Amino acid sequence: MLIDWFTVGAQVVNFLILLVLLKIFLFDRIKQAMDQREKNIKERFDTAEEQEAKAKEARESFEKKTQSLEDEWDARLKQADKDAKERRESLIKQAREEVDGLKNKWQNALEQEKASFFDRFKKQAARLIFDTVEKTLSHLADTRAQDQAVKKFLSRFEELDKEDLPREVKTQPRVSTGFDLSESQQKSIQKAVSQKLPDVENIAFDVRPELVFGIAFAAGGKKMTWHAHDYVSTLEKQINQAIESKDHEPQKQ
Amino acid sequence: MNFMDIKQISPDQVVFFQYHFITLNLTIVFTWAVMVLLVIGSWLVTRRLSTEPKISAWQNILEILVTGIQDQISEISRQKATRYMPFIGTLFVFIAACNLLTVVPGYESPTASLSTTAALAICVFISVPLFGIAQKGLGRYLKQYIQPTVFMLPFNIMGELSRTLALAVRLFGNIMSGSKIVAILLAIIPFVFPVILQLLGLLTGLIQAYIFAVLAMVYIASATQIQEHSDIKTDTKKDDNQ
Repeated sequence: MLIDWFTVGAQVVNFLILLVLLKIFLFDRIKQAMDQREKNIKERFDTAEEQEAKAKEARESFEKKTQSLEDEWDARLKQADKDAKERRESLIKQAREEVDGLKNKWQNALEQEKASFFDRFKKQAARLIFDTVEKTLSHLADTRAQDQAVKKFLSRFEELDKEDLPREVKTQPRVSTGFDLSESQQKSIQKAVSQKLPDVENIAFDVRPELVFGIAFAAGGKKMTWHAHDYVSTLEKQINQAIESKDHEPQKQ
Repeated sequence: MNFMDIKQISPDQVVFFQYHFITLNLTIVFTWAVMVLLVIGSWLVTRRLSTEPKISAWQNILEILVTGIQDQISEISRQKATRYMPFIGTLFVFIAACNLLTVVPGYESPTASLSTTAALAICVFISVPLFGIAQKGLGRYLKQYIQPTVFMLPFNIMGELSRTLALAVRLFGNIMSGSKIVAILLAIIPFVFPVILQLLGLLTGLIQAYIFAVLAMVYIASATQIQEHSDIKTDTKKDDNQ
């Protein structure tokens, strides 16, 4: 018989024993080791993910900081640019003001110099004209320019209306001349004034070189002047125009 | 050294010791040898298991074996493999070891004995209702024998018995015939050809181990799942009547 029932029973028992032993020494241990390794790997993955998350967070923080610094840098750059522009404009404005001030100062100085020059010129020119006229008149007409000037003054004084004359004379009238008046000339003037202003008894005479060729009368707040400055002023204007036109012409080399 | 001659079909026939019905034959001796080999081998490998990603070659082999069996069980049963792993795993490892050791001169595979294959088939035959009852309960397990009608009860019982018989005879026939053919060929053509057949026998032995384990799992799975299908059908009928 091919089958032995005792052997069958023994093999069943053997199989059950083997089942228990392999369960203890093989399957359970292998399973535990695999589970433990899987757990370890999972823990490592979790740790790695945690570290990755931390790294990501740190990266984002760093990027935010970098962005913040860049923004700050841009803002400071813009502010610096704005400040520089303002400073530049301020300096340019200041420089312009300084230039304008210097220009004005220079122009004022020039004008003053010019005025001074023309003042001196007028005086010298008047004096020169007066001398020339004096010489010419003495040589040709056998008369003095001073006399003609006094004569002209007296004729104009006589032509004055009542409105041009002072109503009352409280202070002493004064006659100023650019040259010395002779005694006869003073008397002539005294006489002419007395005729127009009967209240006036005495007149003060003085010499003012700046009048050069002129005679000025001042009494009771009224003033009447005759002098050669009008002629000299015309000459001054012409010379001035000539100088200004010369200044505006382009310089030729 | 050969314990068997060509006339002896089963290693049961080689008896070392006998006292009344107690017999110590070649089948039991080699079964113990295989058991010792497997247990000691398992103990040696698993005494220092690494839980780090880097593992030894032996541990790797065992893990591949265990994982492979686990996957097969999961695929067949569609359930967690943990409960069936020791039983199915032991079946496969034991049969495979018995069959692969035929390369050792003088060794006679215990699976070439009908007593061994019958014992394994009986284990499967007993385990199927045990797993089924543990899973679904006694009443619901027994109910499947009268599905779809009560007249199917004898046929279902016959089916259970016949598949157990088939399990035993299939394994016994394949292994015994393989060893006998090699023995006969050794007598006729002693060179090269027996070696090829021996290698083929190793492959056959592995396939038989796989078939035995898979069929056992299929039977267990059918015991734990057929009931579910019948329950679903019953529930569906109740719904239709309502």
